[in-house]
Amino acid sequence: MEFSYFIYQLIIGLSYSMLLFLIASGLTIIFGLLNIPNFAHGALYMLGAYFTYFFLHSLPGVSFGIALVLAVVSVGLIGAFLEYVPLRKIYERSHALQLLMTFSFILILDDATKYFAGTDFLSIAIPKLMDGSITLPGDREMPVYSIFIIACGLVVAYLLWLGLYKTRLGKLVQAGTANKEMLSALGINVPRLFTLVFILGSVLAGLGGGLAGPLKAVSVGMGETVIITIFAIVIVGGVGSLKGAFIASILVGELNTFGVVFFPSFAMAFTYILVIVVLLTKPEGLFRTK
Amino acid sequence: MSLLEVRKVSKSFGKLQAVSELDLSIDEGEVRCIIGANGAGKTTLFNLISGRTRPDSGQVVFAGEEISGMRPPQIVRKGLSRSFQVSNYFPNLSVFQNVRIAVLSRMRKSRIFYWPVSRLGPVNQRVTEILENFNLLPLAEVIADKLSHGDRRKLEISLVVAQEPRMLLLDEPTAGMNSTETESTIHLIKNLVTKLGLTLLLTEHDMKVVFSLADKITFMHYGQVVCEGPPQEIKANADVKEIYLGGEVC
Amino acid sequence: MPPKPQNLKNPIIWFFASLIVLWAAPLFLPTFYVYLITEILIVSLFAVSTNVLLGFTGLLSFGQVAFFGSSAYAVSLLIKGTSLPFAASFFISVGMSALAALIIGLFCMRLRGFYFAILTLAFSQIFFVVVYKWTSLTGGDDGIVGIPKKPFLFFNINGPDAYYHFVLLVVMVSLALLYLIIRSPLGEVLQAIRDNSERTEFLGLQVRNYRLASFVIAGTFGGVAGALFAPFQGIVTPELLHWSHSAEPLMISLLGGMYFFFGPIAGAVIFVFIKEWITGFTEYWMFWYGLLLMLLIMYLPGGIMGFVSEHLKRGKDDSR
Repeated sequence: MEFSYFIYQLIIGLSYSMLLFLIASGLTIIFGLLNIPNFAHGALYMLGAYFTYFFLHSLPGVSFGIALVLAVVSVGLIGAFLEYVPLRKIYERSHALQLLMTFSFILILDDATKYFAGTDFLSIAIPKLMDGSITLPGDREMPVYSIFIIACGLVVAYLLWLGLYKTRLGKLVQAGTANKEMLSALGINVPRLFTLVFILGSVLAGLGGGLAGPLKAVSVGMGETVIITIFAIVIVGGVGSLKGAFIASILVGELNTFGVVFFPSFAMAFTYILVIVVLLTKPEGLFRTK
Repeated sequence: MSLLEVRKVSKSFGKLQAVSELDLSIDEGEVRCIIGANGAGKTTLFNLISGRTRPDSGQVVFAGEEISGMRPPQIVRKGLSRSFQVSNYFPNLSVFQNVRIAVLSRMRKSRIFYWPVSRLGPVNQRVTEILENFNLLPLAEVIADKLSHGDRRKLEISLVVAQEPRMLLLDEPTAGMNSTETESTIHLIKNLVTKLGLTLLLTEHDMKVVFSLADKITFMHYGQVVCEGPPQEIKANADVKEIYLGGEVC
Repeated sequence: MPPKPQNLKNPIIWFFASLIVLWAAPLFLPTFYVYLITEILIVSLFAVSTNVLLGFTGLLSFGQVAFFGSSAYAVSLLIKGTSLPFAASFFISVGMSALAALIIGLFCMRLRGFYFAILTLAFSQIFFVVVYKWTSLTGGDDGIVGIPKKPFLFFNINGPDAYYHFVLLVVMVSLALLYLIIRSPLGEVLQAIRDNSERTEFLGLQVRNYRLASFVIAGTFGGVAGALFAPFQGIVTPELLHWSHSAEPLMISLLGGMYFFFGPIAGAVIFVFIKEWITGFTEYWMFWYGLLLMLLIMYLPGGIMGFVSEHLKRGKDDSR
């Protein structure tokens, strides 16, 4: 393999990694604090893409950026509803019931999307501003949009880091992730905190979906495809760990990208093998500091 | 000959030294009571002996065999069973089924998968006997979760007895019982010990229970044994009075 | 009063009564319903076997779909690719499912709860990838089509009624065996583990071994369901092994009531009929099904059977 091709793949892999991180960061924060394994997180990601498409095409003169913001807000509202109405009722129940409930969300959201948007693959045009490419050494064309996604991932990572470590709310989230009883002992309004965190997680999933829109065909199945990879990242990184999710996203993103290059027929299994190895050797995740 | 020997066992949780270099030796047929304030390390000691937690250092030897490091089922198979301070049973099974699990395990019938459990005569017979002993027979078909607190404690102890162990660890057997329940439980335990010749190690808050049951008392404080001896001696011990009894009982 | 020894006559009478009634069903039902009941029977077996884990051992496994799917594929490949009699293909496939369950189970027993669920999911997704990518053997995305219904021993099972009778016999015998297992000492220990695994250990039982036994039992009968399914549909596709399909038996158990042996069967009947009924006027039946499940988990976590038995009990109490 030429070195320039290697670099090119590395950057492509990184942009995929950052997209995964946007989605996984939301899931790991939700799972860490609320202790709910939300399988519908992938459905929220899918909704992000569909809403972006919808706002872009139904409102006159709306730019990609505004459509994205509107989509993210919409997904956040749906997340708020899911937490506030059904999930709140089952926090004390077993993981099995919680998991099955989030499954029912997938059925509902998937079919509702099919009803409103049909089953055809949709495509979102890359915004004009970023519709070019940069020529890398070795005459490789690197799409500007991929670079943009990397930048988005890094900015979100930085903001989340700030929010989680520098604000009161973030410190509460951290404290609650480590020890649930502490929250009520501190006199915190726990249900409100849970709702806020679930909205934040949904927003991140929606943002990931909206940004993924121009890269992939927008389809109802996209949530189901991505969610297992996202869970893999959350587990490899350690549930509730932002840093872990960041590193694991890069690991999984690059593993997949290079896997497809070297072992095209078996790359699909790489993520699962990684999950199995991690769960069997270090089930608390590779990067959780505790 | 001592049946159970705890040799220089230590366990810490983070910075908290729950049990430190503790020695304990219990003879066959003895009834030993461990007393001490909350946080003295009594429950941790029970956990260390019964295999729920592993000691950081030291050994636990039962009937001449080292059991520290074994998993709970193995230790139980050696003849050492325990009860729990917070009742620990099968909430969705009936009282009868609860005890039947213990009996199935004891009679080595738990792996049978080709015959209805309700048709195993000797097993059900044995369960009925145990329930009768504990006055739980009228409640046999009640789902365990629906029991009163006192009956839950009785169920808790009957689960241990059903295993017919050589040695019994009872963690606060009368916790939260009213005085009649406490009395009948003491009576029950006394009967067991004399009838079956059991060795018994128990922790207890209620000094009446302690003094009416124990052959010997061990007093624990901050994870260590402060003193040890027959009830009268402990009653008279100045340290114990000061730290724990506070004069109110004696 | 000690509980009376359970009467065995009743289950046996019920068994033969329902077998006779169902055996005669094709006489007065149109073929469409015969198909429908065949499907219900296979789905019932798959759900009941899954519920041995979910409802009776307290383990949420996504692995069931791997044993169902690989057995369906194995039986299809053996039927189409070899001259083995169907009975042999059938038992080889089921045996392979049992073996696969044993091997995967040995790994998965290290973990609990959510991590266990994800580990079984990862293993079953590897099955999916193998089936999806090994195109030369499995036909890849297209799957295997035109799976014939070869005679089973000396019995001709070709044709909707004949195959229905074959499925009915196999499912009824399987369900009877599973019922016996759940009512056996082993089954009672499994329920104890579900309720309180730590206490089970402190009663001298190696929880891990019993969980593994449960996993293998579930996998084996999942395999039986898969081996029945392939010739019934005449086609197998990789979706059978996809993780999203593994939600189906779990949801059905939940719908019917996972703490009851017959819960998943009730769930399967309702599931298949709802599917038929709602697809009659909208193709978006999953939406309504999802909504039903969501409300069920919120308000009736005991499922249909739980709801019914609660009301029966209440009725009894009132009449006293």
